[in-house]
Amino acid sequence: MFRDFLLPKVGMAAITIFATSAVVFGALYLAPGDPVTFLTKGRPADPATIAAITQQYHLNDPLITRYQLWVSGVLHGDLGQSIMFRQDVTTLVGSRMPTTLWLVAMASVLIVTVGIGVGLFSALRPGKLDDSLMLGATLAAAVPIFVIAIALVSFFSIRLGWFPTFGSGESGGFLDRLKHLTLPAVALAFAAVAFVARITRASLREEMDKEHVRAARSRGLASSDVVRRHVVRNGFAPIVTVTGLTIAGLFVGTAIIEKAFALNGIGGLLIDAVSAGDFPVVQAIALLMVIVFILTNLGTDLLQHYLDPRQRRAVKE
Amino acid sequence: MAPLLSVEGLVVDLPVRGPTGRTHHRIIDGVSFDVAPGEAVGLVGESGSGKSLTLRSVVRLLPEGAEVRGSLRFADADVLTMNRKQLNALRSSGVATIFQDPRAAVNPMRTVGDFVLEGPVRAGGRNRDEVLREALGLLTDVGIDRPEQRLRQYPHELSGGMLQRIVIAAAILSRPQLLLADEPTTALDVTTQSDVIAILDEQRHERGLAMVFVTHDLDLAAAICDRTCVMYAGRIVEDQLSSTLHDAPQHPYTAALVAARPVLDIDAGCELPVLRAIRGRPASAYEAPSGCPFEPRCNHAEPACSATRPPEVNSGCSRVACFRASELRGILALEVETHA
Repeated sequence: MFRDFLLPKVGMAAITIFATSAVVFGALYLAPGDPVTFLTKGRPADPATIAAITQQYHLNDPLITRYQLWVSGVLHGDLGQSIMFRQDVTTLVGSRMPTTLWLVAMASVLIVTVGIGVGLFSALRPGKLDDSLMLGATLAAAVPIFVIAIALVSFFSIRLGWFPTFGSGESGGFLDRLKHLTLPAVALAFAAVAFVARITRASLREEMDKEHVRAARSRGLASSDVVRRHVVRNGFAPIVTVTGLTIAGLFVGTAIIEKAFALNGIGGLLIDAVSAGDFPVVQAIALLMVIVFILTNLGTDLLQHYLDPRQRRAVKE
Repeated sequence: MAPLLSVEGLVVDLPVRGPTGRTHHRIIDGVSFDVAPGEAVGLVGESGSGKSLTLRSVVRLLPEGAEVRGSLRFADADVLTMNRKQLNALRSSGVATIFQDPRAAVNPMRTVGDFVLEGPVRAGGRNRDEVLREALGLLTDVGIDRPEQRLRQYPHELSGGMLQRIVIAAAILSRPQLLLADEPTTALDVTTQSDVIAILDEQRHERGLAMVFVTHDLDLAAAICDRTCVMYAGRIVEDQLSSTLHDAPQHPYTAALVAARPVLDIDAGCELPVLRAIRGRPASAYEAPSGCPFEPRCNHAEPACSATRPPEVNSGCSRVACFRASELRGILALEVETHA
């Protein structure tokens, strides 16, 4: 199991992370603008200052040397200095991480429970309600994330006053945080819930039409047994994959949501850093998002492997 | 003897989503047949003739929205009016179904043992250990070596032939009175087909099980069924003893089917036998003409044939639905004889 399956999978993930780190690092140098202009705010600066900045960010070294320096820094937990905040990127990102993690975790819970729940219900109960749920899901999946955010705020925060309009409530306790992050999490999960619901329904419907399900029915098994043991169990593979990838993709969605709700997370930080040309921060967050995506993917693969005996045995042989 | 299974005037309409909304297509159009305890009845016909659907109707294993009319009685109980619970009881202990492709019919995500025991234990409510003991014996009977190990394996680790034997054993394990076999060898390797058929036949005889056997292989039906019903366009056009069907077909369609079989003639040397296909294509019940459904393809059709449906006429132990059956008898016998 370890040598034939886990090792290659983890190895591949590591190689992918390494390769994307080069892309992340290199891509930023293709973008216009340089740190010197940003730091001097476009004002004419004396040569000594420019030399100091150039020295600090190794701007005169060739790209490959700078990449090496960056990678060795990353491996030692040093992501460089933020140009914008004059602060360690590691500390900066670290302090904002909890908000984003909370946000994504809450959205994931919504996706798994509501998305899969609605899909399951729709698959098992064909009819008018199922039709309207799926129509709703199609519409929901088509609404842009910021429109949802605005709609949620104007209704629940401004009209009803149930939730705060902005802030992540990190200074308060658990409940305060929950309250602050509810609307952002709903907005973030909205389209994904609809998407996962559709996939769940489609996958289970397909499984229901399979011959082995008919065979199970032909043996007099109770409907609940047939659904649980044959339909859900078998139809789960694509659901796990899609849900995993969707959750991994949420980190990117946090950029818009955190801006819309003025949350202190890494998504919002990314947007600020991009507009400020704060390349160490952009690199760090981009790399982080890639790593999270790849790890989630790896987790999904492992789960898949555990769920499907055909994959398990295929490795053994 | 009272029949074990009695099907009378069975009509099945399946829902179809057409351009003008939902409609129904008639697939089975008045099928009647009886199966006595211990008797094997074959249902043969081309694809789309409704033979598989007839079989599935017996345990009401039909697609959602199917409309069923007529009468279906098993051991004197009305199958069509059964509630969920009664139906599950019928399926778990009265009637067992063997499907065409064992790879498709056994859940690939669960172990073989799970499949075998699931029926009797979960649906039949029997003691697991007792069923397991019986299963191991049965598996040995159907020619499975190391049954304990097989039960721990997954379907994809076994060959199709082996899997179909296991399916047969699982069907028998539920102690049914009637076996429904839906082309149980079509998906198998030719070399294992005869093995599986032999095992099915042997097990059936040993336990005195009745069977309805669906196939498009006339010879196979003749070999293991007491009686053969030939289906065309959702109806039974001929019902005869298997032993006489080949030599004395009474319906032109049966005769054409018999003549269409590829027969290797050793005496003819290297020459390939001429295949005598039936012209035209098979019609489903809903698209069949209002007269005799086989009339457009029949070599012996007369103008009268397209006017009305020929009724089923009983004579002794056979039944045929053809206006010209009595006058054609000699001609049809000759047709199949020159072939063989």
